[in-house]
Amino acid sequence: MTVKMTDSSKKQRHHAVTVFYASIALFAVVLALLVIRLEAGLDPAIGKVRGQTAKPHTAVKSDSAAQQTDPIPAPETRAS
Amino acid sequence: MKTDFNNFSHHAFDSMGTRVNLWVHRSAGHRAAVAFRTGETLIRDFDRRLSRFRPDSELCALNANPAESVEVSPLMMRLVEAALQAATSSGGLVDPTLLDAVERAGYRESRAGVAPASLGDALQDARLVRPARPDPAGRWLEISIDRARRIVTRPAGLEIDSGGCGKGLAADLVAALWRRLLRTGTPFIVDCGGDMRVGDLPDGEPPYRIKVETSPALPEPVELELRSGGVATSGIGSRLWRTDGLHAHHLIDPATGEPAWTGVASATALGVSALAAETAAKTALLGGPIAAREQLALLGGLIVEFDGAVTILDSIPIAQVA
Repeated sequence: MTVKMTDSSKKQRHHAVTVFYASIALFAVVLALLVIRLEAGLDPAIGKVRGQTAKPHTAVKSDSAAQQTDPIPAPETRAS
Repeated sequence: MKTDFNNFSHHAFDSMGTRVNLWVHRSAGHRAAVAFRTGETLIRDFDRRLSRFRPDSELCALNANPAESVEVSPLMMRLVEAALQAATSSGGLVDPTLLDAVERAGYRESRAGVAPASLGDALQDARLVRPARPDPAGRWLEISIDRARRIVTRPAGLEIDSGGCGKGLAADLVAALWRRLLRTGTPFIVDCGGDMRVGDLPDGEPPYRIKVETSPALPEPVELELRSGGVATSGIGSRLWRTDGLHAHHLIDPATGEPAWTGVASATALGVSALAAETAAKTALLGGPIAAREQLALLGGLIVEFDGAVTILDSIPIAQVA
């Protein structure tokens, strides 16, 4: 016995396939953004190290306006 | 070619009574964040356990322990080893048994954030200027360690001070940790209050250029170049105070138990490690101008004398920048 798909069924299957591929594409984009963020060294945990009284400070020089752009200080040796 | 520190990530925080700065080259990627976290954790732990200013520290517990032999942690063992190493290589000038003398001189509490007294006034008051000498009694020789059993033995009541080697040792420990964490050849700098250890540079990378800050100030800027090892500065101007109408500082002449006025106000030394550099800088300052030149001629460095005279010992490339 042969079952023929109706036009409605074909549309539903097409829609499901489209949603499936769109989800994969969205996941890939999110993953890529996460990798880029980590590669730039911008771990959001830095700068909040266990609530010490002293204020840690992290600076990462980058061309991206979204990232911190504080000038990186040059090292100096001194008596302390 | 000059180091471009804009190619580094930087992390800074206060610990060990000073400012700690960490740099890791951007080529480390996300590992820089991990390096910063582990480095800060190690240094804060070092300070918590080995500071003489924290009554609950392991160092204070060791010094208060009436037993002659005490089992200690691996970290404490490293500190005592480093202190004995510094004393040996300095011929007893960098003496870890001067805690009583430092406290008698007025350094009983942390001076972090306390403005120092005027160095100019202090140098004018310094009447008896002479090289420091080792303690004839050599009490540090009475300290012994059993590495395998992690036991420190010393006469009851003989207190040990971390002041002469703590920051250099902490910088070296972070560097050792990072060498396992970061890819070989990744440039980095660990700076504990001016005592620094750098990561070994691969061929082709420009050397690190480290600015030298001294008191009294240098007439023109000086930068040291290095590709591995450490650099440290010791000076009397940063922890300087008045007590009973006299100036005092934290670098003690072991022979007299009094602050040392040797003619050298600041000494900067290069070394194979931060600990070696810190020891060399303190030895140079305590030894006076003539011994300092001999001391620093081995690996290079710089001294500033009481009258402001600057001597650069240039055994490796040292840049004077316009």
